[in-house]
Amino acid sequence: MLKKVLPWITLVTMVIAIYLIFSPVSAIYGLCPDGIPFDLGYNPRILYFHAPLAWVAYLAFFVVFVSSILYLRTREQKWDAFASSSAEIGVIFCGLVLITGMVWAKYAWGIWWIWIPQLTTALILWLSYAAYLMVRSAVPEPERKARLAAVFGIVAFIGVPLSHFSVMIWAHPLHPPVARVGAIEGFPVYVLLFNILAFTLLYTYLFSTKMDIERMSEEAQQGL
Amino acid sequence: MRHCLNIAWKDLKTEFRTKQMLNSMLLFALLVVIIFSFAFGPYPENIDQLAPGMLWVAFTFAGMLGLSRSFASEKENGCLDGLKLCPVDRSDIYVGKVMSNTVLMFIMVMVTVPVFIVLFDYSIPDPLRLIFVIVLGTLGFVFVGTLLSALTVNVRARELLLPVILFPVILPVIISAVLATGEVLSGINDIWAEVRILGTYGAIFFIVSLLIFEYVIED
Repeated sequence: MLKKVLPWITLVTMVIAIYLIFSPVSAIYGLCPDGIPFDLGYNPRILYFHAPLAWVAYLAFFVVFVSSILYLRTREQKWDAFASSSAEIGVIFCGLVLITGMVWAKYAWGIWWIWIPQLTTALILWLSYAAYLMVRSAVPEPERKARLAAVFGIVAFIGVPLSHFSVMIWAHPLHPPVARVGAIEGFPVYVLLFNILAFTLLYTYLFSTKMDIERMSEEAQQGL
Repeated sequence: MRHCLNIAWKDLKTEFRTKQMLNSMLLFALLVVIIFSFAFGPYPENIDQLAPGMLWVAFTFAGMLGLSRSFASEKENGCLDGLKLCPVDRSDIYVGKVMSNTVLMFIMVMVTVPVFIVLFDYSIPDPLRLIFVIVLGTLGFVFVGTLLSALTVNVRARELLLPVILFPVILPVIISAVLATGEVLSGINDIWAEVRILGTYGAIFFIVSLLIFEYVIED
């Protein structure tokens, strides 16, 4: 039942979310030097994509971490499928975070890439989980693949906060504090929250589809 | 603890009989420093900025060579199975390997740094602090490196896979160690922020590795 409804709920929510992003009410305002707010135009609205994508990427990697631990404890194939599905979606979403971040940086600061902690941490995350997928593809035997990938899934996730802290002290002396172009308050906050909901639903849908594929490929393997 | 020492001792003994790994690590580290000196010219003006990066690139790349052989050498003649049959805790194997890898890394560092000083006519203002930073950084590197070296031991393309999976995870070590080394070399004494990250990193990964090492070498 839920599986039948989920794609439709996701579709409707996503459409509403995208409509909201471009509707006038969700304009993001900046402040003139004399304190009068003004509409920053369409570009800052990339935030409505960027922040939910980042949230989903972190969520996906957290799911990899938890499923990896559960796999090592229970040795059930299910948890491995959880981890691998989530990791693939996470890598894609994390890549999109980087791209939307770069587009925003080009608009706001005039350069594509800027070594601020947020972007750098996202890059390290992306690299770590691309490496996770490398581990998976390097080991052919299913049981060993699941076990080694689970170990690496745990190691990679633990590295993330540490990377963030080290990037913070590394990037700090090189860059002035990043100015907030638009303070977000009022209606845009709800738009952002709605977008986070929409992207989380999208993640859930992709995840359940990927799980189906995993299950079917396993069945096909056993049938052979 | 005695078991760990025995395993480390065995590793070092076999290593010093052939010196195969150690020699290639040393030569490689030397080559990295020499290539850098060719790339940046004989007397680069901003050597203070370049030095920490050069040193840590040499350490990590040469260390990677040693790590990738650390468990791979046990594959011959089924030594790894023999090691697993030992009536010791699996984590003792990990600690033993960490010890032997650390010793090899330190030897490599002790050769590379003087060569660097000679080639670039460099003087180190505070050697003790530098040693402290290098020890902390090396330990963090070896803790994770040994675990991932064991992880890749049964993979066919392990020499390829190990760097790809190790570097993203040890980025915090590289960043903090390079920063701290740069600060020590330029005479800044406040390296507490970096040392804190290096220490936390080392402690967390040592404990995590002890806990999950047995899953890595199960088969």
